[in-house]
Amino acid sequence: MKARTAWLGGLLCVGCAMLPTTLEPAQVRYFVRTDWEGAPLESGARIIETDLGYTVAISSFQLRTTSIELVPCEPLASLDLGPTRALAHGSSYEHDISAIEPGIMDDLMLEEAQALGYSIATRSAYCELFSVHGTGRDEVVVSLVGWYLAPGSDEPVPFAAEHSLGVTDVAPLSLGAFDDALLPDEAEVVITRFPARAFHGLPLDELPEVDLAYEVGLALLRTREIRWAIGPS
Amino acid sequence: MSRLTLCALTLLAFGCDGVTYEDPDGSVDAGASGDAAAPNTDECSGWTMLETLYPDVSLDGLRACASPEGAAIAASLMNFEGLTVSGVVAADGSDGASPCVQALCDDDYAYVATNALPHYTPQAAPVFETADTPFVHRIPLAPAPLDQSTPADSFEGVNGCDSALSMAVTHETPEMPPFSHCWYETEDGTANTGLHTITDGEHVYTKIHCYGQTAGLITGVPAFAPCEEARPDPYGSPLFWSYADPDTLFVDYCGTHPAAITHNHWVNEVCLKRDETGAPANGYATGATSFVIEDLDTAGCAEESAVVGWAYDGHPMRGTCVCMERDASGACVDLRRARSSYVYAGLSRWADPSSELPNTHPDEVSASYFGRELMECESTADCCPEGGLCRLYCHPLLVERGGSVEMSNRCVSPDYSWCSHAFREHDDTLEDDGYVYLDRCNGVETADGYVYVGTPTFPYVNSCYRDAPSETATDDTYIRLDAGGMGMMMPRP
Repeated sequence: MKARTAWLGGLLCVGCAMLPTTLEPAQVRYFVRTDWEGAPLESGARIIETDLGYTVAISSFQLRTTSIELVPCEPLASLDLGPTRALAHGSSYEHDISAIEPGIMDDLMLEEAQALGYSIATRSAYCELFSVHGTGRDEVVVSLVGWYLAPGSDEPVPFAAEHSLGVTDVAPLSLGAFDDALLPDEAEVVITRFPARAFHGLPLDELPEVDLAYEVGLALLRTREIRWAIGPS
Repeated sequence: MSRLTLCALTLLAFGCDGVTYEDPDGSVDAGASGDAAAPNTDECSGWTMLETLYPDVSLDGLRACASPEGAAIAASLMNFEGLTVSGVVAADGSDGASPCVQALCDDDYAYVATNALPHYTPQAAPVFETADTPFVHRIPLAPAPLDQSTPADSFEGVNGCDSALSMAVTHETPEMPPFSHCWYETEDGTANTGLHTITDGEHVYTKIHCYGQTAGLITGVPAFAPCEEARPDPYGSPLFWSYADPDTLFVDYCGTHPAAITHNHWVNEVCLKRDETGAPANGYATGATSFVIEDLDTAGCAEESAVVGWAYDGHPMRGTCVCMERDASGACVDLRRARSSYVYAGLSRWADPSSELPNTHPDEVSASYFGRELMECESTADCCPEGGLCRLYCHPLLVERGGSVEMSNRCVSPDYSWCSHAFREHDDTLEDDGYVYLDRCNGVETADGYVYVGTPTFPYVNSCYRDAPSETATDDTYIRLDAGGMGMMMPRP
């Protein structure tokens, strides 16, 4: 990770007179990082206390990222999905040119930001980030290993949960900043995930492992934070 | 999984109050109480539509379903007590809501009110919002035969499939279904798909909507006909697309997606399974993982399928394992997998060298992507090796080979599903070991009476009504995409 991406840790262009209102890049770099806030590291595992009173230890946590792209602000003129899909048959839909397809399992145990890829973009306004996690039903999307203690119990229950159901996520690009270290029209988008938040509300001792993996994966996507920065115009 | 508890970010909820109950007559895996306690109608928005949908009925005139028939319907419904689902729009516009399904009866009908919300966080691609949508299903307590002297269209004499092929070859999309297997009328009433009834020459049936409700599922969510409307796949099954492209789920693997009213295009028994309290027994992931078409068609059945819904002629709909014979003690001695008698026969079979329609000569059809229709395949790339405007999927379904029916991966078109599938009469519906073949309406006379079956292949739900349906069968409140004031979200890239 480059020094110029220090803003990724949460500094939103302190001292800037103005913040950018829309993201209109000509090129974009994507990063993911994990924020284990509230989950101390003990004996190689992250320890989480959930709102339902479970103690969860996570020793391995991976999420597949199949593709990521920016979504133009301009809505499609109609719901005429047929021709669009037909033209792109086999790839489900037409990607924006900002799309990257890493197709990898992100290791969420790492705290450092990981570069996912780089793409050109249209310079038009983008409002959302769209990501696909898993294609088909043959590849693992979420893999999760650890154990938990149910409320009032001192007996650890081990789990090695995974699921292979593709999921998608759409997030608004609302947290933007200027970054003088970037080239003009160059953008960086950082997705921060908070695993400690993904276990809240889950009755772990009543969930089959496939549902555990699926629900944690969904919650991970829904509680993520998207920040972007763009070079001076 | 035994009990469900509420949680904010997940579809699963554990901790609902237990209600115990028994099957009223052994023919319905009921599940809810048979004590005929009336539900609190303030808790379900569906009742607000009662008098709009059925002006001859008032809420004050309804009561708890106490008769055996009414109790069976009420007892079969899902128990949503204490369940809140995120990712749906409540009646007041806020995020998150509780699904509801309740039954009340009069002397002739059960009225099943619902807000048509799924019992899990919606998983279909976010084209539309999944919103609280009030509706009431009217289910006859006693199925009544349809007047067999009623004039009817003919299943075998339907017109329009050659026109469908012509348009499919050139990627044109008509504004209304070109065939007459099902019922559709334009909003202004100037055009329709023929009569309300249809016959195979032996029996007169009532048509289902071309794309509209055919039954009320035990969740309250309506089952919809085996077609979409003009888009995205013209009058075709949305299953093919969803099965091929799970990362852009047009319909989720529980068979549900939102529109003017959220509905099911097929039935997933695992998603609809109830625990001993009547609450949802499985989460979405468990249900979705189980949705493997080939597995759902294997001959062996471990246990009888439960009731999953009620058609508008009063017959129940079950999953695919049905009991064909019971012994004196009531034990099932002939448990069979129910199979649709419809096979994929191809849209290209409507090619005709003498037709005046464009692009329907067999040479033109075979020169198009339809030249690979019905080819055996392993992936969609086998069906569309050159890409481009090729609208074929590699999909597992029932086809004929050498006079018998088999499950096979074939290159198939999603469009005009009534025309691409053909009904094959079986001399003996029990002729094949382990299977029982269903009738035109996707139903069968079982040891417990006539039932419709939710199958993993066309037509997926009931495809006509064997007996006389209630008005719900033709109600068009939610069959058009602009109905209901629903919020439409931007299609994703």
